Amino acid sequence: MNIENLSEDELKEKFENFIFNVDDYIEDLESRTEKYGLKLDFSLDSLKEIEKYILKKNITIDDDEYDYIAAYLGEVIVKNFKLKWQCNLDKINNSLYYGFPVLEGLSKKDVLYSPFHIIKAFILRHKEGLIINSIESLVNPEPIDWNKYSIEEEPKEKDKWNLLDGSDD
Amino acid sequence: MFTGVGEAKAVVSGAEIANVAAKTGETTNILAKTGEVAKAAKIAEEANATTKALEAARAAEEAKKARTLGAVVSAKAKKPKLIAGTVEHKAARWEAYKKRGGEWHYTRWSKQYDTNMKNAKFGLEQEQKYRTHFGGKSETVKTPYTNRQIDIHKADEMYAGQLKTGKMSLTKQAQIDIQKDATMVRQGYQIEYILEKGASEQFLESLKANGIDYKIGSQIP
Repeated sequence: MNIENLSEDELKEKFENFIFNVDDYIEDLESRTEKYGLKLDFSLDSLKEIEKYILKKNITIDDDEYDYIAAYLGEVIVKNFKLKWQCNLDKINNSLYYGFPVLEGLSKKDVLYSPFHIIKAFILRHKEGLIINSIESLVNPEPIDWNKYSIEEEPKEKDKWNLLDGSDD
Repeated sequence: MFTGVGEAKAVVSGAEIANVAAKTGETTNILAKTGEVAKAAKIAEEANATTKALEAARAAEEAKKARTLGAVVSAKAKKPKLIAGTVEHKAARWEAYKKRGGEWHYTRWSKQYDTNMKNAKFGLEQEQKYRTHFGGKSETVKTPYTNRQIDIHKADEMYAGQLKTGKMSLTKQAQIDIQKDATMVRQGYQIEYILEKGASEQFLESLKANGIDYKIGSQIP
């Protein structure tokens, strides 16, 4: 089912359904991870365990567990940062996460965190520490140190453009 | 009574001369000798009054200018946005260019305008060509460093392509964009710059240092 083909009402319905099921998803995940000796205590450290679990079980985005793990990641954020799930219907500033359950408040206003996208990224990239790093990148964004570079000029063609440009249009 | 600027200037030049003259011992002596000290003082007093009037006139003139400027700014704010490439847009740009003191004659200017318009359109057309060829669509996302427009987004691969049709340099704006893209890399995205006409060494170095991929040259047939 393509999320873009759903109406706003359908997306809200889908979101409510997800929120309704979050506890069940997490209970299911807990019972599965216990077999692997992993304890999910909603701490930020437990996200490292989640990464190991995804790799051990070779989870893909077609598995039910993809949803369960995304729900767990979201709940870790909710509990540690006192945030709330919301359905992203912002096509103007955040079309990238349109229709997905997201969390807002790790960074500036309107900067969203999408647990589904983060888990998908880990499944695709298998990059250790990606989940915790994704949170860090919003909570403590690291400005690039540009001191070792010098600021360069626009290419000449663009200078000509500025010369012709009469207003802020 | 309001004194016009020109009028006040004429008065003050005479008065200033008298004032300066009154301060010089020689003139004072001459005036004293002729019993006209009081007259000199009166001239100086008039000069002060005229200077004050001149200052008031200048202030009034400044206020008038500010009011006019305010009206212009306000009118500009209400002006509808012109669409690049239209006759109206071109005419407005030409007027603005002349006002700014541009020295090209119209033919020369017009040729440059048309080239620039073609280049801008070319960029957008190229983006569409890439999206058609590789799949994907244009998206936006808000980052801690303001919004980022993604030219080619492929959701399945979490790939975000940024197409650059001109040669790139590490300008202030490029640094801001790279900063936004670096945040997206930390969110697990693969960011790739397609640099059709290449980029400066510094630009490429900073992409590499921030985990951003790049390809040089056109990537579509």
